[in-house]
Amino acid sequence: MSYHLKNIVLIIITFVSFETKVFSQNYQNKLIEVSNSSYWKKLLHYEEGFFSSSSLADSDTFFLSKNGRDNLLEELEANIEAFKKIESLYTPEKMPAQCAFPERFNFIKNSFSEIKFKEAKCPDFQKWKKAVVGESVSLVFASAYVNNPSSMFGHTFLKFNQRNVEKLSEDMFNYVVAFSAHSDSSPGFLYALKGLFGGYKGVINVKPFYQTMKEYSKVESRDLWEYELNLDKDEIDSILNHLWEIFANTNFDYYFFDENCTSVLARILDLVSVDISYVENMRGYSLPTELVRTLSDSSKVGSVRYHPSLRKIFWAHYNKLSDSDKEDFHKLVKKEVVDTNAQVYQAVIHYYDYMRHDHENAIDENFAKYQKEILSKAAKAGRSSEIAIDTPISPDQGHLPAKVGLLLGKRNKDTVNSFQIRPLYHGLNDTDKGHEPWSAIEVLKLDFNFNHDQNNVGIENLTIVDVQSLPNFSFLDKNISWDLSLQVNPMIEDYKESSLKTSFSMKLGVSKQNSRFLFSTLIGAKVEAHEFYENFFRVGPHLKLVSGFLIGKSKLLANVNYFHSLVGKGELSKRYYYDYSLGLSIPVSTQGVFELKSTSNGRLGTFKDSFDSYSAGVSIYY
Amino acid sequence: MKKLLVICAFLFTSYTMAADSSSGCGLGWAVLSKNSLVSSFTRTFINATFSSTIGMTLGTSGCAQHSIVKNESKIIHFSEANFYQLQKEIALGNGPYVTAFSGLIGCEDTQNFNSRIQKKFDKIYTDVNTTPNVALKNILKSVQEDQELSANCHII
Repeated sequence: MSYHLKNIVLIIITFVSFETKVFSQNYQNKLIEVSNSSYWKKLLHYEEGFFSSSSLADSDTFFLSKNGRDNLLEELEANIEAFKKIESLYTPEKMPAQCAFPERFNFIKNSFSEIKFKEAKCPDFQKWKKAVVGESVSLVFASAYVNNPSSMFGHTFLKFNQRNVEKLSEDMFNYVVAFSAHSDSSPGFLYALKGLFGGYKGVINVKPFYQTMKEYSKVESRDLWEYELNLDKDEIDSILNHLWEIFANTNFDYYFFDENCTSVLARILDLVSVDISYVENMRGYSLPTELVRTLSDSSKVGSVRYHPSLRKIFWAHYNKLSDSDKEDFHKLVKKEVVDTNAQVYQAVIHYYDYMRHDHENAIDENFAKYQKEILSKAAKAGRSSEIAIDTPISPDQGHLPAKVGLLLGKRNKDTVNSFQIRPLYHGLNDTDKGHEPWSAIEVLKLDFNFNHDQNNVGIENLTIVDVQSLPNFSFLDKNISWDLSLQVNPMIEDYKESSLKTSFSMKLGVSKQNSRFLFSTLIGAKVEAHEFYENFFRVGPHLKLVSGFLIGKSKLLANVNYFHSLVGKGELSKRYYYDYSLGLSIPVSTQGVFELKSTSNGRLGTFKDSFDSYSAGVSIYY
Repeated sequence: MKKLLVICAFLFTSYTMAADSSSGCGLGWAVLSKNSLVSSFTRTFINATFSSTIGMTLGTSGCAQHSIVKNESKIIHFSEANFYQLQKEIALGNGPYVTAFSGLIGCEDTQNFNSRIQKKFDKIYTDVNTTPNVALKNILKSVQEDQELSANCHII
């Protein structure tokens, strides 16, 4: 080889290697850029934390790289390599990566047009997608079940509408995709505890809407609210592709507060949201109502539909009956022989259906026989006309869940400023618009004050959790009220205002209520703990009376509590105390309320020892 | 008629549908097919561990396709899953479930179907122990015996 030729070859080699180096450098930069893109992070459910960042997905099959859970770049490289080949290795069902991760495949294919990827046939995925896909998507909110603590925040899921949403009979065959706790145990105390502290796996499940309708609106008597979302075909496609990725490959831990049905749905919807981030609107907890509200406020929501629960259907039919028809209704329920009309039979049928689903323990062979008899008689009475059921105020119209308030007042003779903060969710004195009337669930409410005369700061109350379910009791619908409360309070009844005691109480009772009035009587037990007490605790019966009135939009609430400890030596009068409170809330704007409050603690017969406070101020929901 | 035969074949064989609960199919179902309380619990555990959601949906792993339902078995699944709702609405002569059902079996004149089938209530639900399968069989028989319905419904 001549000297010149050798030089030319050397130059070419240098140039090519330089080009390769430049290309490789560019490719490397692009890899880093794509791996840090928000879409890639969303696809991996990657959460950036203060100390460490990683994916919230809890199954190894969701990641193609060994370090994929924490390393965005390595996971992207592993996905690119997998999409260059067709190997049936992925998901527990063993399918090609292109079929296991269709949205990742689309995203990577569009981001790296210079790479030749292989297309795979995906019969399982295509079959699933063809069955589920719809022309529109609705976010469905299942409101709280009146007496079930585990459902108190509500539930959300997605519904894909293949057919005309307005036509309920066809709508029933649409599919619903939900993220929910995989649980075999029936709801109860343990269920709630596991939900709070972990112990459940959350999985995506797919069901026909008729099944979901039956489960929620019939069996659990929960209203369903359907918010149709303004999403285009490509956005629906992306959501569905990504749902499959989760559905086929992974699960998430399930916690009631922060990693629940709503947080996962919010992350999925966030994939296609360009003008609003639902995830950023979540504040350490995710409430179904907040997702619904964020969507409503974002103009992403088109039409809203209401599906009443079986309980509401029954009461609507019953309340429409004339007085003589109501008499016939009660006679039929008492199994007396009556010759009546189709409307009465219709109300009785809805009643028995509600009883059968909601009060399962009241069902026996005789009930089933009589229900069948009524159905048979109704069929002979001919067709009854359907009645319209009023649509209540939708859940997105309610107040925001967090509340902060500043009140000024007197405590005995001292001037006191009190500051209240509650991160969630709904108190008995809050406006019921958009909520189940006369119910309360408050978590981590802190109430502290500054005493100007004594120049000190003290805790007035720390509510760790307070749940009050006060449904209406009637002989047709025998709902039991209950409440549960875990609190820290100063021992003012023992003149130790600066010393804090912890108390836990659980009570059962009955309530009479309608949308304007409440009267509730509850009785149960209370345990109080403090080192000052003999054996560190007191325990005994606890009585509570609650009454409430709506005066215009203002809410007046009166609360009386009486506790009598059965343990402890010494004078009997030292072991019991009462307290009462009177509060008036006057809404001043959609998210602001003026509050007046008066409380008193003391012991019967010793009024001079009572401890009184009066305060007034403004609270803001945020 | 072909469709009716398919349904009848489903109904008269020993084939039974899986219940609504997700326990009962999926990977765990294939591992332990004996239906007892203990195995039911174990199945759920296995299902949860191995994320057998695809199996539960597509009817692989011996599952009865209760999520994405095949067209032929849709009628059976719907009438079984909504047994009480259907019974209630047949007695009332109207309602979304009986209307959806009439569409499902190809009876498009819903009002006519609903009022005619209401009159057959006692023939469909002969006693308190009528099973969903027998009720469905009786509905289809009633449609077949009714000249007008059998002429207007596509399924026959």
